Amino acid sequence: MKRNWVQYLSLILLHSSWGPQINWICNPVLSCHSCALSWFACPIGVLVHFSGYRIFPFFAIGTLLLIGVLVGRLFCGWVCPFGLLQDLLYRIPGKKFSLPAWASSIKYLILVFMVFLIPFFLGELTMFSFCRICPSATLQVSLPDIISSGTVRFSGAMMARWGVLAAVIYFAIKSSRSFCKAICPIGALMAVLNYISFWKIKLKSETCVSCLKCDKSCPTDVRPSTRARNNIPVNRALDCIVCHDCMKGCPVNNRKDKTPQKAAT
Amino acid sequence: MDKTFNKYFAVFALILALAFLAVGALRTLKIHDIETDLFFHEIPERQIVIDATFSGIVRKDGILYSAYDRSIKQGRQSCPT
Repeated sequence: MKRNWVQYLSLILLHSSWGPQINWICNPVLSCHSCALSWFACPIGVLVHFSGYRIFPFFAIGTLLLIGVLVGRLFCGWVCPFGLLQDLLYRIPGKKFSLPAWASSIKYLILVFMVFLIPFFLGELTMFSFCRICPSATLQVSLPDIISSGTVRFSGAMMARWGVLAAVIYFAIKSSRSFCKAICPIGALMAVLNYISFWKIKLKSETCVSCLKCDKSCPTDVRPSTRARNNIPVNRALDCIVCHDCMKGCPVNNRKDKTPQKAAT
Repeated sequence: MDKTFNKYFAVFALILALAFLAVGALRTLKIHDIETDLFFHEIPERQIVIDATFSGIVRKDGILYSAYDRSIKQGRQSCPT
C-alpha cells in the first residue's frame, strides 16, 4: 500500500466533517479542532484545556494510550496531515541536513511546559500554551480567517505564530520530518509507546546484507539497521514514525527468495 | 528491553487505557452557570472534551463555569485561541 495515498486520503477524510459531532474523540495527529471541517479533537488542544481546568483527561489519555499500545506512532507516519505537508516540503530540491540528536529532546520540554505545566498554573487561555504557536492552527484557522475577513491584525502573538510556521516550513524543506523529531508534542506523548506497541516492523538479521539502505530511506534518521542486526523490531525507537519506508528500502526484504546477497558497492 | 517484560507492560498499558476510557465514559463533572453561579450542570467528560475544543468552559477561583448558555442548542463553535 502506498503511504502517500493513505496520507492524502486521511487529509480528505479527517477534514470533511458534514454533521455528527464526534469531536469528543481525540485523534493523535496534528490537526486543529478549530478547523470547521475537522472531525476529531486535537489531543494537544484538549490536554491544554484540561490542564487549565485542573481535571484529569481520562478519555483523551485513554484514547491516546489505546492507539499507542496497538500501533505506536503509526498515525504519525500514515495519517497526520502535518506529516504529509512535511513530506511534500522535503521533496523541494536543495541542500539537506539532519538535525542533531539533542534536538529530539526539545519536544519533551514543549510537552511538559507548554501543554501541561504552563496551562496548569496560568490557565487554559494563557499566551504561552502550545496552541498559541501551533503551526497547524496557523494554517487551518488563522490563514482561512485572514482570507475570509480580508484583514490582518498585527500583534506580538500573531507575529510569533507566523514566525513559528515560517521556521517549521524552512526546517521541513531542509530536514526530513524535522517538526516531528524536534517539536511535535503529540510525537512526544506517543514516542514511548513505540517500545511496547503490538505493531512490529521486523527486518530479519539473518538475511541482512548491511547495505544500510534502510537507514538511508528512514525519514527520521532512527537507524533501523542497528535494531535489525540485533533482531529487534525496528520501530522500537522514540522517533520512529512507523512509516515502513525501511522495509520498502530493504533490498532483501523486497526480494522473493530473501537469501543474503553481497552489498552493492 | 526484555521481550516478556515488554509484552506484560503492553498488556498492562492496554488494560489501563480501557480503564481510563471506561472512567471517562462514566464520569460527570459539576459545571456552574456563569451568570447565576449557584445553578450547575452535571456534564459528562465527553461533553467537556467537546467544550475544550472551543473553550466552552472557564475556570475561575477553582470553580468550572460554563462559558455559554447550555439551554440553547449551539452549532459548531470555534476556539478563541
